Amino acid sequence: MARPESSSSGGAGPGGAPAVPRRDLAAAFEEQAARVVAIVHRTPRDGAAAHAAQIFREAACRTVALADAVPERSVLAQALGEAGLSLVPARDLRPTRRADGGISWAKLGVAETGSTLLHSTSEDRRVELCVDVHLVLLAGGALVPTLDAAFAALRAIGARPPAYASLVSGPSRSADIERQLTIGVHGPRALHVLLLEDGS
Amino acid sequence: MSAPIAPFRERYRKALADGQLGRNLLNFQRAYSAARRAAFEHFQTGAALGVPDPSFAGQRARLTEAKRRAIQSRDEQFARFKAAAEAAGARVYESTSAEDAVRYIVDLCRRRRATLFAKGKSMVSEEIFLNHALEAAGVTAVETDLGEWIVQLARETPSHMVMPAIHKSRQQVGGLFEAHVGRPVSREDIAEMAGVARQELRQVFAEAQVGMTGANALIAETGTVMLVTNEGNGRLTSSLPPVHIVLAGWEKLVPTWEDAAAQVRLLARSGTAQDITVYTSFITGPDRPDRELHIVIVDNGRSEMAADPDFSEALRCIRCAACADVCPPYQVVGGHAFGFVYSGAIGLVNTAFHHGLDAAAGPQSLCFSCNACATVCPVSIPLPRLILDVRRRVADRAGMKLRTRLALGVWARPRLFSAVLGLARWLERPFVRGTALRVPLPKAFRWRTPQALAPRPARAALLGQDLPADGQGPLAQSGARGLRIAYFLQCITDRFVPEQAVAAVRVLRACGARVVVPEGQHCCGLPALDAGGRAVARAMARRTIETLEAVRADWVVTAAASCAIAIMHDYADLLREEPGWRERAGALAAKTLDLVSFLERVAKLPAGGLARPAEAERFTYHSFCQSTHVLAISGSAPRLLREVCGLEVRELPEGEVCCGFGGSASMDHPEVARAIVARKLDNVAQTEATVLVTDNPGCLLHLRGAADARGMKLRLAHVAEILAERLV
Repeated sequence: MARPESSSSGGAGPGGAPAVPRRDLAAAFEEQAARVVAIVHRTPRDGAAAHAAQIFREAACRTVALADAVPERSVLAQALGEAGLSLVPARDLRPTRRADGGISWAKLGVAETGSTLLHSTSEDRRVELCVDVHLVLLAGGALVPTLDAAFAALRAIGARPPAYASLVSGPSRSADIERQLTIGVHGPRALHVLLLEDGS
Repeated sequence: MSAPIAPFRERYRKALADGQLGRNLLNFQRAYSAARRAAFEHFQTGAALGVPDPSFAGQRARLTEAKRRAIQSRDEQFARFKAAAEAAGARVYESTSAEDAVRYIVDLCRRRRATLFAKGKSMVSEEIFLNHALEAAGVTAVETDLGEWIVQLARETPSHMVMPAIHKSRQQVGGLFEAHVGRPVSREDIAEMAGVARQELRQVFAEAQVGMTGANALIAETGTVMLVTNEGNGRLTSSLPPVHIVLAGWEKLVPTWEDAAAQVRLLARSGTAQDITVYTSFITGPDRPDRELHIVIVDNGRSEMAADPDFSEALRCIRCAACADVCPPYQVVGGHAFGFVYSGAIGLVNTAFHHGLDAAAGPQSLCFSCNACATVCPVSIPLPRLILDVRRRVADRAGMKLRTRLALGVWARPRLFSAVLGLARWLERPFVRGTALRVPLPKAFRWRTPQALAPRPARAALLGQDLPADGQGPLAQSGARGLRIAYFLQCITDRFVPEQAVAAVRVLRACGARVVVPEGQHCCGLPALDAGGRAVARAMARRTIETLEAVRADWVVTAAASCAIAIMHDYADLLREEPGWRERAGALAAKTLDLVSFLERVAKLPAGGLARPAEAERFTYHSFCQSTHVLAISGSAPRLLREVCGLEVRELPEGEVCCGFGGSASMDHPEVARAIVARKLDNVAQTEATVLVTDNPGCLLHLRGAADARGMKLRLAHVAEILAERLV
């Protein structure tokens, strides 16, 4: 499936598996994310802040927490403020004192499972845990095809402890009552992934 | 430590009296099987991304090998894990017993003056009865997993390793929640119920001084705890309280991250038919200087398992519970009876080591040996064989039931067996109507009309015969032409349905083979093996080997699939400690086949060879469980019927689920067998077939009796009979 004219993502996969072109990788990620009920939005990098604000507005959020690890926080903060959303410091979040929305930064996206890899500090993790609508920013260049690639990255993270990292695949769910799928139990009720594309 | 679990008989009776339970679990199992199939089908699309061998079989081989290596090098892996985790700032405590693990945790709570203890899902905490100890120490432990919380509110134990409250209906859950929160809660709206848990448990996450979780893997190379959850409670309990305790059995150790990845690829697909769980977290050390991370490692019988070459295989278990999700008796009685703390097939095995043989004695008797668990186990644990091994240990210690002992005593002596059956035939004569025996039965057995003994057993016509090939006819040029076949009659066929043996011999001769029926053959020993009587089984196996060897045949064939499989797959294991016999068992196994496999693989019957111009009847097919799960030939007989006989064979829903015969299991647990056969016959009724074809005489008689008792017009026929009828 490799096409020579496409830009490829990170060369050959593990075990000499064929490299997957980035365009196909994004499509595969999107498709798989839909299976785990994550909502993927593709957006140009310079429009990301406005797009993020729009997602929270549409989800009727009023307060948003922003993880420290998110790059260009001031641009995001400004866009959120202009959209009438108030910012809550991550460290103030509690299970009983929540924000409506939260923004995190993903190290990687995994096409095989539609997961994002979040490596966060204890405080940033509150943004993942104590909000109802969770938005993950993912750079298009950070997509990897398989769990093998993701586990190689996770291993590198684990090798520099202390570390807490997670593969997040969709919003919190349970099937504990009559095996009926219920979205949104203790974690966020909705997971959006903003896939940032670099022009071209 | 005395287990806060009621005696088996009480759990069993309660389960049978619960009208709702079986229905809940039937819906659950049907949905699970379809979803699991779809999940593994979708997995294959990963090939385009470069996922290496994205198939159940491929990943299972990989994970099995990884877990096997981990268990073999346990001490090394533990040392590596401990060193790395402690270097990362965690404390690793290797407890010496279940009580010691409990004491460590209670002491830690005391030292931290903890009064509120938030729990993520942990089967090991159930195993060591941690909640009771915490309660006694004045610590309030709150389960935060939705299913565990339901079970805690109901003051019960989990009935399923992955879905602890799967035995409860939404109405029951709504009622429990309403009683707990003191305001009205819907009995229908599951989202509302999840909302109640969400609201109520927030306070616990916020205020608990200690959070505890289990672990799905302990990755040795970096000292990392892998934790897999869906609801998000595991991440909350491991992130917010100032102390995080991880409680895990040492069998969760895996050497590398690659091994952990292999586990992730199979765990959710097998457990909940998801591609991956929502949160897969990796915790290496406490990630704040003011937090404590304690990793408490539990043995509690695991070393004893590891030292046994057979039971060490059970340590590979990754607690996906697939073995419960496909288990027919589990569907009828649920995990409280079909298990102890751990439920499903694995629970019948590891209970003997974690909680003692007495705790396993009742639950293990519920296994019908259908082998469905072995087919879906993602780490290739030979569960059916291990359950039989537990059964043998129970029998060795407590002795078999008097009824079983008497029956085997007669069964093991061919002349006594003949005499007893002769007497029975004389006694039953006034009650025989056709093939049915219309006698008054105890209430528990009225669902199955017994089959009458045949007027003349098969041996009367066939034993000692040396029958030449039938050189003419449509099958005469088959691949079996010129072969010499030793035919094994099998006791049930011989005495109850001799027409099946006659039909099979006729078909084999029509295929151009010479058929000898060796003198001196009796029972293969399977009933004794199923009952846990290995010594009796060994004697019968040796006799069968001698008899069948003596005639120097190319192949040994029988229409009784169960006994063919016993010879092919159980003899070598049964006689493994008897040099000489072990090799003879192997040689016999190599040339033994059930009739269907023989016709497909050796005879290779010609397409349309037995087709008739028109068929008046409608056919469906039920594959004997071990044909499905041990030989993987569930498609063979329908193929024969379609291609050779030109029949339309209707697809039987849940065709690969057991019929509920299970040898002596249907005598020991008639209530369970009754429910399983009802599930089967309901499915048969849906096909509107008039003939149900199968490949094993025991199952056939059981199904015929059950169909008769419910007044169902259904002909039961062996594959051999269908083929023989079409020989001109």
